[in-house]
Amino acid sequence: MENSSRYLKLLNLVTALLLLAATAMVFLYAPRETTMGEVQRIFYFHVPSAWVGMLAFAVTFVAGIIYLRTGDRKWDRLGLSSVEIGLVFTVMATASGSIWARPAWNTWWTWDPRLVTYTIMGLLYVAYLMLASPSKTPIGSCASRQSTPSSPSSVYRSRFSRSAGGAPSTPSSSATPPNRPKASSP
Amino acid sequence: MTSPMRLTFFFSLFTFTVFYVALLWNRVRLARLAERVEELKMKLMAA
Repeated sequence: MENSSRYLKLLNLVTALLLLAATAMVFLYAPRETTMGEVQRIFYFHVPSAWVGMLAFAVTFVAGIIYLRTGDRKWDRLGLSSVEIGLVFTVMATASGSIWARPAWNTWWTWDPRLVTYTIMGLLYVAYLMLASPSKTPIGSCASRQSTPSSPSSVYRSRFSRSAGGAPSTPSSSATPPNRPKASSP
Repeated sequence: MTSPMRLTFFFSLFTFTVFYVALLWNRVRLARLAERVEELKMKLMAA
């Protein structure tokens, strides 16, 4: 316990330093993008937030399955903790995407399949939290098994149905595809 | 995407992943402590 506490303190320190370095790189090292300008810098926070959201839900999925198989409470604890963090990052990704969309697409929100399925995924995990927190039953783990297939599909679905409900384009960005301008795609 | 942009992007991705691990570790530790407190409360009430 003492040893793990020391490692945790070290990890917290390393994380703080990495966050400072990443912020410095985003604003001081990375050049200004030619097509979108300064607003493109939001991608350095938006994409990692979305990635962590997905990662957290994948961890919840695995922890949920192991908990259902073994009945060990530590896996339920891990799943619940992970879903809480995943939700925060999902909200961050949605909010930062919306802030980027305003100057790029001239709208805060559009009924694009990727945005809609990503939001549905977030709502499914809100349901997980509501089911799992007070009851202390495996209902939450079952919910995570039901919800997780929506995580990768929220991204890939839009790849196959790109034309459906495409984002409105502004005169300045009409040459770029509505979902993600070429210059910014990682 | 230029080379500095790519480097910044992947560094940011790595940082957020480490951030997630740190948050998860802290949260699990907190949950474990909360459960321990509950157990001790139960013991105290039973005694």
